[in-house]
This record gives sequence, structure tokens and C-alpha cells, in this order.
Amino acid sequence: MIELARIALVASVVALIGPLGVGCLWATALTYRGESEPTLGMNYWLGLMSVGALILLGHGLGISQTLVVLLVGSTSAAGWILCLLRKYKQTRAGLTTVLPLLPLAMAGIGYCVLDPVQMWDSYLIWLARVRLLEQWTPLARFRDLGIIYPEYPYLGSAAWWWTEWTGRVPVESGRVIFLFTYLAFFLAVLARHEQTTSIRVRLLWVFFAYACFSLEIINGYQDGFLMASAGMVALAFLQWEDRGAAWIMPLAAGLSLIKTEGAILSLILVFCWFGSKLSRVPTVQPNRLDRHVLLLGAVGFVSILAIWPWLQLRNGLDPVNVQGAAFRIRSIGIVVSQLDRFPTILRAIGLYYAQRPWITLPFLAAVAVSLVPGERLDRQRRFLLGFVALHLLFVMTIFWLTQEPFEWHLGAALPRLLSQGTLVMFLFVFETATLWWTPIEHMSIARQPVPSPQRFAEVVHTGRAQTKRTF
Amino acid sequence: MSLWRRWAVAGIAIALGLVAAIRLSPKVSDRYKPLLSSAFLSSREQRLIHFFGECEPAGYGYLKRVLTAYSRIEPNPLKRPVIRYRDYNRRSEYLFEPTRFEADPSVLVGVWLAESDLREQEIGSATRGADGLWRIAVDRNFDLLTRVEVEAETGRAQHLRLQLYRSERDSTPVWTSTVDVATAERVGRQTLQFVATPPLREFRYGLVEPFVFRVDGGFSVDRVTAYGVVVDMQGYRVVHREGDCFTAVEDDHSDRWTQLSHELEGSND
Repeated sequence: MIELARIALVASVVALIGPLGVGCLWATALTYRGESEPTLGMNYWLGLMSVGALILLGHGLGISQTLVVLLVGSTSAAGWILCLLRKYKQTRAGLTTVLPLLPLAMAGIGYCVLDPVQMWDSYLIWLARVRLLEQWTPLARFRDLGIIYPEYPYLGSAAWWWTEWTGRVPVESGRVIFLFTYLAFFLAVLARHEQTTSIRVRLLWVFFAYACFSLEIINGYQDGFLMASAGMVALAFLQWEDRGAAWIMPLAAGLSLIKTEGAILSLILVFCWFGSKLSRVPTVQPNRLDRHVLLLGAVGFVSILAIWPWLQLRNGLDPVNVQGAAFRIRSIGIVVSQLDRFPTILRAIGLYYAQRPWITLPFLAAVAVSLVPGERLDRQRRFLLGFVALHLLFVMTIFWLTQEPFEWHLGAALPRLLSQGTLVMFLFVFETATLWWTPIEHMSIARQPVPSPQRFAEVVHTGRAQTKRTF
Repeated sequence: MSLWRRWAVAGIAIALGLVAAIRLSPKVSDRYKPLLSSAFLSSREQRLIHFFGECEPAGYGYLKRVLTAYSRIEPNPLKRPVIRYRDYNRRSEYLFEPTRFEADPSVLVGVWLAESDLREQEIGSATRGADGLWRIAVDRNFDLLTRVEVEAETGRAQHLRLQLYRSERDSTPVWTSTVDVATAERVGRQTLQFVATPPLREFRYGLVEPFVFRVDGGFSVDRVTAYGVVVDMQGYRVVHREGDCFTAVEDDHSDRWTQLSHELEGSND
């Protein structure tokens, strides 16, 4: 028992220290740019993504393991030092925030430590990469070793490896990072509404933290991680808005390093954010600052999206090979002939949501109250709703085009693909509920159109004027 | 929020959490019942044995013994024996550190494989579709397809042709065989054999997509049955067996692995 407690403690501490240190660098950089500081939850996720990306890049480029470990370690250490130097106020999570999540956190850590990774293909895809990183086997050799889908990216596995390797704990314990990412998302959501005192909002938050949870998030498969990460990108857009585009867009592209479909999710997120306020397009061109921010974001977005295909090419893998032969379509005729799949796909989607009334009903209720005549749908919710719709379209397209056995592919992949959008659906529900249940004087985020240039500046440069850091 | 309200919210939230946990618990109770045992909690080894078994389903215990003995003979830390399972590739090698990724075909370890899995057995009977094609869904891997039996009402035609396609979408058959019905002893219902010489290799189930048989010849076919071998042991000799797990070595390398079989026999004591 003592050994088990030691492993749980070491894995948890290591899983927190490294990413939070790198997250501190993000916080420092954002503050330096005059942006609002990320909350603790967002900090953790930013750090974790960076740790995973650094390892993936270093490994893919053939840099030695020692050098990559030193790089990640020193980056994290530098982050911690910077935080201490600038007297980063250690944020405190409130009692009402931490206590409700404690049972989930404890049970999740217990699961990660106790339950070995199961020997099913879905999990072995990612476990294989962790094992290969332990030996620092070159990416160029992945194809020769008979692992499943050598063409898949592995940011999550890289962060997982970092945790188990630095903590010297059994491999399954490293999965605590996925649990912490999930919890970090919920902390970040609540922090966005820190001034909200409505008990109903708090209870809704707790309810969803438990309802959205499943073992699939922490058992080693990457859809849960992608789900939490897509939610985090959406949250980042909500918090930093257009001004954060320079760094949120590349960050969104980081989803492509977790799973292949992450690239599409990131495209949808970016498209929906900018598409949610088309009226802003004419003002971007004449405004030099806006133009530069957008350009920087776009360049960063494309560059990060290109990283994995570039690494594949560099290491002799075929970047066109997305998922075996699943999407190699020989003719337009096949695409047309597969149109008759749509009723089956729609039925399967309907069944999926019917089996999850805890998200479906609140979401439909939120959509209904948001779209009633006279109600003005703000940009945030237009963005979230747009994402849900386009994501659904993306999932339908996958099954329309798949060359795998249709029924099998639908049964095997539909639930996990749909799950990737769950936290964005929750965000939509939560944003709507907050608007309905929070007295206007307690709202921390300005949503209504602001007439004066001075107020407009406050909204655009949200930063410290509009949001405060809590934890 | 006042302090009492904070406590109230926390209390309600915890209650909600507990209700959620209790609601979810029946789904996992069987799997996690052993968690209540202190031995299970205190030993990772016990947990690995519990989940992956000594021999079945993933042969953790047996593989550990084989790999320990194997590593004393094979200096390359990345090499391991070929591991074969009765259903699908469970990749139990990932359970071990360091993971040995490179399969060495001179030693083969069978996990959860009965004697019958090493001999010819019925793969299954095909079902006839409305389009007249016969489909057979194979839910496990077979190394070899050895023959196909067709039960048919023979008529005046001379030949019966059988074609095998890997999937519905394939337009080229992977195997075509023709039987001369004229040599059959009598006209009427009879079973015709299509023997694959040499046997077809790598008869994998491939994502539950059925294999497709086309039978031509103008006969009324009642039944199509395929036969095969789960693990092809040709060229291997079993040197150690423990329940449904075994170790076999390639005939050409038997001298090199003599010590391996001795060590494994010693580990039985």
C-alpha cells in the first residue's frame, strides 16, 4: 500500500511540476505582451502541450534523448524561476472549487496507478510510442517494428513518457496527465466565471465535471485528451479573443500533433472563431495591429500544422497515408454511391446522443433559449455553436467517405469521434447558463456591444481590465 | 459567497459526485473486485497476472519466464520471440521493460493456444447472400486456409469453379480452384473438396470484413465450409508446454536454443 501511495504521489507531482513550469513561461510571455494571465488550469494545459511538442519535435528531429530531457527540464525550471522572480502570486483554488473535484481526482489517480494499460489496439497505438520513446527509437524505424499505425502523431504519448520516465514510475501511472488535463479544463472554465456567485452555475459545473468524465479519458487512448484540448482552445478564444490569435491559432494547430483528426478540429475552431464575427473583417485590413496579429497567427498555425507531415517526410514515412487505406478513394463514383449511408449515420448519431441525455438535453435547452426570437446570440456562443455543427458535419463526412467496412467503422469510431466535441457542447451550455443565472453586476465578461471607443478598447484589450486571475 | 454557502455547495457537490460514482460502480465492479485484496494493491506483479494471466488471455506469467531465459542467450536487448495468440495480436511484449520490439522468428511462443489450434480445423461455414455470393466472417486469425468443402446437388455440368476474394470490394480473386465433377462417383448431393496447394497464407480476419466465395458451375450449392490452421507450426518443434502456452524453436536453430528449453523445464519445478 505504501508503495502504491508513493507511486501515486510521485506520478502526480511529476505530472504537475514539469508542465506547470513551462506553463509559467507562457504566463510570463503573455503578461509581457500585455495580455491577461492564464489561469492555473490553462497554465497546466499550455505547459503540457509544450512539453509534449518539444519532445515530439526533438525526437522526430533525431536529437539525443539527453539533450531533449535537458531542454524540457531547463525550460520548466526557467519557468518556475521566472514565476518566483516576478513574485507570481500563488493562486489558491477555493474550497468550493477543489472539494467537489477531489473524489474524481483521487479515483482517477487510483485508476491510473492500479489498472495496467489494456492490450487492445486502441490503447496499444499510444503505449507503443511511450515504449519506443523509453528507448528513444528513431521515428524512421517506427514503420519497421510492426507497431499499429506508425503514421500517427504522438504528442500525448510524449508527455505521458515524460511523466513516467522522469518519475521512474510504472508506465501506466504516467496517464495521470490526461486526468489532470481534464480537471484543468474544468478549473479553467470556472476561473473564467470567477465572479459568478450563482449556486446553480456552480452545481451545473460540478455536475458536468462528473457527467462528462469517462475512463476513456484516462485509460491511455487519446480522444479524451483531444476532447479536453479542443475545449481548452475554445476556452482560450473565449478568454483572449481576437487579440490572442497570434498564439492561440498555432496552439490550436497543436491539436494535429495529438491525433490526425486534431488538424481538422483546429481548422474548425479557427474558422468558427473568425467566422463568428464577420462584421469585423472590414476593420482588420486598415488596422495594422489587427493585421499583424492575424498574419502572425496564420503563419504560426500553418507552421505547426506542417510539423508532423514534415517530420514524417524527414523520417521516411508517407504523410499522405492518413489512416491506412481508410480514405483512399479510387473514384468520385464511389463517393456518390456511398451517399445512401447518410440515414444510417444520422441514426447512429441520434442514438449516441439519445444515450447521453445529460449532455444532449442541456445542450438542446441551451440552443432553444439562445435562439428564441428577441434573444441575441453573442459571438462566444455563435463560435461554440458553429463548432458543434461543423464538427458534426466532419464526423458525418468521415463515415460517408470511409473505405473501411462501413458498419464496423461506424460502430468502432463514431462514439469516440463525437466525444471530441463534448466539452465544447458543455461550454455552450455553461456560457448560456451563466448568462441566464448570473446577475448582470456579477458578470466578469463584457458581451454586449460597447458604443464608446474607450469602452471598445477595454473590451478588445480584455486583459486585466476585464478578467482577474484566481488560480 | 458566505462561508456557509460555500460549505453547502461543496457538500451538495460531493454528494453529487458520490451518487455519480455509485451509479457508475456496477459497470466496473467485476473487473475491480480484486482491488479489495491487499495483495493486489501492494504488488504490480499481482495486478499484471490478474489482468493478463499466467497463460490466458495474454500470457504475462509465461512470457516473463520465457523472456528471462531468452535474454540469457540472445545478447540483443531488442529481440524477442515471435508471440502468437489464439485470437488477435495482444502485443504482450509492451508489458515488459525494456520492450523488445524486434521479433526473432527462430523462437515462437504460443499463448492460450490449444493443440487443436496447431492442426487443421473448421474456420466456419459461409452464408449465402441475395446476390448468390457466399460470405464468411472470420473472427480470429488463421495462418493457413487449407481447403474448402462445397456441398452441392450435382447435375449435368462438368466443372465447378470456386473463387475466393479477400473482401467485397476486391475485383480480383486471391484463389481460384476448379473441380472436375465428372470424376464424381454419382449424380446427386455430394461434397466436393477444393484443396489449396500450397495452402493460402495469412488468412486474417481483417476488421470483420467477410471473405467472399463465388461458386460457378450451374449447381445448386447448399453449403460452403472453409478449413484452416490457426498457427502454422511447419518448421518449428515445440520444446516446452505449460497448459495452453508453449515455446517452439525453429528446426534449423534447435541447437542454439537447447539451453532455453532446459531453463523452461527447470522453471516448472
